[in-house]
Amino acid sequence: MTKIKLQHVSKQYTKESDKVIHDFNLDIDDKEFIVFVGPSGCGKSTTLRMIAGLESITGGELWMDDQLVNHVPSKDRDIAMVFQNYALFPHLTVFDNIAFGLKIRKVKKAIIKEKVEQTAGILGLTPYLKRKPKDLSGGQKQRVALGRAVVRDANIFLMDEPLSNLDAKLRVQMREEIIRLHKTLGTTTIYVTHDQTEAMTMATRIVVLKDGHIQQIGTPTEIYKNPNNMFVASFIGAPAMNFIHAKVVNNQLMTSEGKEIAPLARPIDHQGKVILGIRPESVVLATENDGLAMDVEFVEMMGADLHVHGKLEQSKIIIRLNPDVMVKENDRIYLRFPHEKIHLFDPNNEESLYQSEGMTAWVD
Amino acid sequence: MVNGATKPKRFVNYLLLILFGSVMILPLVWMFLSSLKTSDEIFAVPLTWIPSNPQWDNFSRAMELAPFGLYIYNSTVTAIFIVVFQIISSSMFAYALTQLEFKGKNLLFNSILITYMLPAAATYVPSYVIVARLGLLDTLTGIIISNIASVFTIFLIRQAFLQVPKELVEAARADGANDLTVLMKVMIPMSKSTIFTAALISFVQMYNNYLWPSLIVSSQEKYLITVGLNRFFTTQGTFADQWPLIMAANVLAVLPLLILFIFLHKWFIKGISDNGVKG
Repeated sequence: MTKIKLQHVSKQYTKESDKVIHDFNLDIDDKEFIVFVGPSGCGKSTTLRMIAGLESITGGELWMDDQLVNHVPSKDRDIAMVFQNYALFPHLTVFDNIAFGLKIRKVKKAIIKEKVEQTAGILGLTPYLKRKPKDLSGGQKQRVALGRAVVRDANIFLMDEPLSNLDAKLRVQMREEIIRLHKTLGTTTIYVTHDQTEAMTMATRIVVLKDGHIQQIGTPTEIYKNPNNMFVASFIGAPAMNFIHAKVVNNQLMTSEGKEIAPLARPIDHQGKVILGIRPESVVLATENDGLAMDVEFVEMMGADLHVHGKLEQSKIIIRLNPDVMVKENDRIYLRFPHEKIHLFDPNNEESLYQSEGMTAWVD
Repeated sequence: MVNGATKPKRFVNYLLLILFGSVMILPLVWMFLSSLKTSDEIFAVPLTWIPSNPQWDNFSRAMELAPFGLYIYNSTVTAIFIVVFQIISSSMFAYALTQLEFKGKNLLFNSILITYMLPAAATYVPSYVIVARLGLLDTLTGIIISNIASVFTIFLIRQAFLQVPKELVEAARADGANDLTVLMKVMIPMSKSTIFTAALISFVQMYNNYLWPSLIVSSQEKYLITVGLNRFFTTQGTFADQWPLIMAANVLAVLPLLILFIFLHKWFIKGISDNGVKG
């Protein structure tokens, strides 16, 4: 069942200004966890705020549960929103903050009490119900903000970078809690973040945005394995995908200097210059005879992995190796790019030309 | 200013504060002491501070000469009504100015501010005509209605509403709040100290208001304390032996304000300094 439908939605603040959202089309199913991800200024928050009814829609249609809601005010959309800076009412206790939405809807006192206590139980807030927001830590505040959304049994959860203000450790912890919450409640959720890790770990589907245009919509695996273009390829994944100048001659992939890289598994409709994309973890060590030379510039020991930074011909490259491999600064190592892990992009429009059939290769 | 200053600097600061403070409070102290003196003591040379035999019955004698209790009651009730109506209307006005989008919003706000620049006396004639046409001359309702709108209160509350983070309003809306709920549950509670301050300032102003009420009311039972005191002064005051009674009446007149200030001065100072610092 389609829960939310965005059709050709666009946003323009004033008639003179440029559009900040262009032709946004997306169908969101019931119980999905959709993540909008992109760099700052890409329009992800604006889109979320349009769905929330906090921002008017310039063009196109927004449907919720088969009802056109373009002009329905926020309060009647049955949404619950969580904000980056928590947006807790400083003059109310935790209990009253969580109960706010219920009180407005004139729910009976006994029911409010029961629901708030139940929500506080889920989120581990029971000991803090009588405190004011100023006496809570960042993590607790964000939990109260989540509680305010959870308690209302709203139809849709909208979260605008809810974890950005937390420190790294707490962020991981709260990420797990939100995932668990979504599994328990099954509420359709739209989550905005600029953090690709959050997008990858939480989403059922990711929407990658740039400059108000949708770049790609897909499951985390699809986006990671088969990025539509160089932007998606570089934005999703850390360290980012390597891009190396290369060329295709007679279906054979070669470096700019003419060294053979790999044969292509299927022919492509492109000759000449291409950008070769390869993930840092897909690169395999080889010998001088069958590998491409890489000059190591420096090495980062991450514990579980070893990140090796260096240059392959003129292109910068990062590879991720087993930490037991002995590689150090100024070494020359030799690399092989497995053909099933190779991506090719058009250097002119940065669109994908060739995707390895990675899906099957990865599943088995 | 005081913190971190060197000792002599601090000494000078305190000295100046004490000096200015004394200058401010001296008339009040003088008034209170004089209300307990005999008329001879008031004009005695050299001047005496402490009455040798406090005349507590000055108060009851003053009350007999004019119905000051009624005057104070009239003033207090009018001021309370005016303040309540002012806060309600100004909050709604400030809400519209800060939260709603409509054409000509800035023009509206600027024109309101311009009316603040007008000297009050310039509007007396038209206002008087309006009150007369409404048939509210010589009524307390007339005083109340003609003072309901306060540009100063609107401005003060608007400034406080501007400080409320946008996200809080949005969060309330997403939680299902309409405009009235946002105003009552978010904007007003979060601007409590400013609203208290505005109410206090306005109360004091209305309680002390003399010229305009003196134009509106003419019958004695509707006199405000300011008007009543003046009439008392002009009718009785030429005789030196009435001075202690006038002083006693004055003490009675400022009593409600002093009590109010003692209870609410924390809010008062907080409201003023909040807006000063964050502004």
